[in-house]
Amino acid sequence: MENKIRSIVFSFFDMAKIPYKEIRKGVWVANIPETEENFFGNVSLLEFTFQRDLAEEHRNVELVCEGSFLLRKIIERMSVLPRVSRVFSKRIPETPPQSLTVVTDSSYYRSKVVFNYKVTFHCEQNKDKLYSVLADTAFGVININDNLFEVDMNEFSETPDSNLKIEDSGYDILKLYMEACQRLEDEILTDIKDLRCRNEEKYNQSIKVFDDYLDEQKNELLKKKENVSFHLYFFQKEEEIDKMLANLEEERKRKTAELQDKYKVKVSVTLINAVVLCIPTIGAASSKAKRTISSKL
Amino acid sequence: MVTASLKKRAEKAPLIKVESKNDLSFTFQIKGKAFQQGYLFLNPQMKELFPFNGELCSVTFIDDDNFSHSAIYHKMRGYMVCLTFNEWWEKNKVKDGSIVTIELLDSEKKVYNLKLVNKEPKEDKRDEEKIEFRFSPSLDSCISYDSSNLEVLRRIVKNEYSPIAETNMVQMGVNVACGYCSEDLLSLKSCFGVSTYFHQVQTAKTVIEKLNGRALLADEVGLGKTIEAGLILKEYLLRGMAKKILILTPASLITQWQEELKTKFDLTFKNHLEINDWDDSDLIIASLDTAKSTKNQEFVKKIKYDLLIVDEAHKLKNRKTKNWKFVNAINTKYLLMLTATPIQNDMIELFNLISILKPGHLSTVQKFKDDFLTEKDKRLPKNSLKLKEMLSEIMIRHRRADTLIKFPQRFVHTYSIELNDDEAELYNELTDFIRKKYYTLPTHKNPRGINRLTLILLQKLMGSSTHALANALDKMIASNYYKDDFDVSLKKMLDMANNVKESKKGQVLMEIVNSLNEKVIIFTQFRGTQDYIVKMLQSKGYSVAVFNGQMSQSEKDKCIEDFRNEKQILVSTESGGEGRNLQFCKYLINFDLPWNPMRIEQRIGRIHRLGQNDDVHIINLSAKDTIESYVLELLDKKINLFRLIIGELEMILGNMQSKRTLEQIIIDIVTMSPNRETMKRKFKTLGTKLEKALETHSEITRAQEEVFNGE
Repeated sequence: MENKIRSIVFSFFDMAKIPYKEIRKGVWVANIPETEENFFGNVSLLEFTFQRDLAEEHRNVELVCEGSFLLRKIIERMSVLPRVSRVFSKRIPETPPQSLTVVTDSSYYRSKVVFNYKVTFHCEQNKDKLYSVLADTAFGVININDNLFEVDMNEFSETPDSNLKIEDSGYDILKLYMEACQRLEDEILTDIKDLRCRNEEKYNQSIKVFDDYLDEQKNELLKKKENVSFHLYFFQKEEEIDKMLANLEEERKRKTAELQDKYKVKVSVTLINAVVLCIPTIGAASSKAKRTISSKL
Repeated sequence: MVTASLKKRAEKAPLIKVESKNDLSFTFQIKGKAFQQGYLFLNPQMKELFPFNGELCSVTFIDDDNFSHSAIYHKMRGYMVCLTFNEWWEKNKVKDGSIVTIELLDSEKKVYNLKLVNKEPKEDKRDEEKIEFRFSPSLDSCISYDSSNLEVLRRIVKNEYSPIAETNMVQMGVNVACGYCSEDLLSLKSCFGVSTYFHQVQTAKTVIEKLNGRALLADEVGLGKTIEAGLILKEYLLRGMAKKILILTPASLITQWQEELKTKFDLTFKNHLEINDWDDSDLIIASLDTAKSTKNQEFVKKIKYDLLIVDEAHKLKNRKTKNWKFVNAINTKYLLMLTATPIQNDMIELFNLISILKPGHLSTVQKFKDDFLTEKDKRLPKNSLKLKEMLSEIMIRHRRADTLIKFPQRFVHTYSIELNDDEAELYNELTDFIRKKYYTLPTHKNPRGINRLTLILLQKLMGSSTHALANALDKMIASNYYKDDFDVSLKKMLDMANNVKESKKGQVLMEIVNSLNEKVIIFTQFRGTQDYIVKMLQSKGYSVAVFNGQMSQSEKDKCIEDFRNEKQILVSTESGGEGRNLQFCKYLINFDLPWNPMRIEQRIGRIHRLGQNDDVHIINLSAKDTIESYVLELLDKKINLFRLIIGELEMILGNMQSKRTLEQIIIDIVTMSPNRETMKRKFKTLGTKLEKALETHSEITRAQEEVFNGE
């Protein structure tokens, strides 16, 4: 884990163009540019370590570890920048999918797209789930997995084989994304139903307690109002009680809205990144084939 | 490219013709395939109703049956893609020649109404019911899609690829963040100096997992409620469940909270003086009085907080007060209220506190009174088992006895020292000077006098050591600021200070240190005294570590490490060692005594805290018949300061019901008394008040015991 965290932090510094160096064993210092000082708690020199014992010994050295607030902020900041990459399979060209017409015996790159999603269920205990949806633009097939897709760089390269053309499948990427989202929603539907059920139950319990509480208070006030004529300044007293009753209703509205908001099911879907996988395929994508697939979907 | 062919179709736009158009809507006739298969192609006239900046935008269409259709608008290519258009088409029996109107409903949220104008009357309802609507993005309104998702798509469309290493790194970050095991407290992994006791971890877990983040933390004093609150707040931050946090505390504890959160939890909270606006920072700490002031309270009430922490929550015991009403009106998802004494005079106070956390949990006031209050004593409950059961759903209270933590004893040794003649003479000279000069304080007409603060400082310096006093006098004379008549007095006292042969306190200190073969911390308030002590100890061959506020962070770290590993004595000023673990030392010498008892408590807290396994010895050096000796007598004899549990002092002083701090009261006594006798009498009166405050505190403590632990 420490190595992973180290890679994340150093990559972040590289991306943000923040220079850093190791000043003594296990302790690094980063020169924070003025524009970034706020992010790092208003320091211009950030000394940091990944080792707890060193941080314990030198209290001015920031500990970056699992559970450190700085790490969380860095990860959040990195995630804000959506990334898209394209890689090329090193494998030998594969047989074309049935639906494609082979026109020549040459080869080309056909695209698959991986959408990596983070789904956050906002509830008492926020829960994050990670999914990857793999779509083959030629087949129109969509598979969903409940973890993120990791590109094995032994099988892929960032530079294409110059002999192969990158052919477009004819599939609209926007529509593909929406289909992937639809598939994802199907996948999380049960979780949402469960969550909704639980929240509804809790909301009903809470609102009942609260309503009873207000109703009883209201009844007490109404009783007082009935007896107010015995009071010397009964007009004044009556007005006072009416005001208190109005306040109770205000309080009811406020609290009901607060509870509704608290127990409302909220699910947010973030597309972490997308990777276009180019697969060498025998033949060539014909325009006829493109149209056929497109209209099928 | 497929887009090329789409573009051609869109550009030619022979299929859709706008029939009519105004600023908010357009009507068109459907022809061919321009509006089906999940697409709607727009001609230039139609595009005017979608004047968005981004290349890709999310748009929502609401149809006549109130179904939402989520679409993505590709501005450059002029088309909408929506997976549910086909279903709408089928459901409404749309055909070539049908007339459709699209009307803008909400430009900010990009919501439009989709309406079939020449809709055929419904013939067979059963047929209609056969058509099933599928979910599409955002159709189920509880699902929201992050706006950055479209940026990913835009990059694919535009072929803007990043190196795979960067993409992988972002992904690894998300994986690390999501991979945390929620059964453990993440906050524990990066906390410092927090001796995590079972009861604290248990409290944090219970609040988060069972009490849904709204709880009254009512541990007995000294068990670390602040640590519990810190663990919970950090956990919420790390799990991404809280972002905006407000801590309300008495003004005297703001700095202490800030320091603890920084040193132990690595969290930087801004106090109200460091912000321009209450929305400036996500992590704010302020006094309850500041937040509820007329100037601020409306701003605070408007903000939606994720977590609110109220320290010393017993200040909300009365629901008719501004404090109660203000905190009750703050919009917050999670709420922690901290107090060791939820009941002070009356059980209703407990009811009022719980009403903020969970209104109705204890029913109404009247019912609560009927069910749980005895007629004889407002502080005693009936049905206590039932009450305890109800409280367990909202309140957590640990007693020291329950935690099985060993609390070492504290031994106090006070040395009452007779000053040498020359020291006593200087002391009296200075005290008289201060008493006389207090009435000739600088004014607008006569600004070159000695101000009140300086006079008090001189008195405190004298109480510390003649060396500290001499240093200060030397600087004052050199500054050439003070008027001639003052100058003469100052010079006279400087001569007297310089002529003091030997310090009696210094001698006693050396005798004490000689008799100990242990590590010792010596506290003083002043640098001048610190230099003197260090020099004296070093001349006798002792190894000494020096700690003060002028040192850099790394120098401070090194000093503490030296003291831990090799040096026998640490000489520290007030700034010494906040949040640092010094429990390896068990002897503390107060060479001088601050007039502010909270500072004395902080000194003691450096070594006598959770984690200390040995008994602790506190040694006070006090010169007879000095102000310091009166202060010491007040604090030691009247409120047992040196035997109190850390945190208890604030509670006792809170019972004095005074707007002034104890230090301010002492300063007034010293400066406003015309002679020693009056001063002594005033100190005596103050002592009586302190005794009463302690008595009230004892009664309150007993009440908690009866309510929460009695049968």
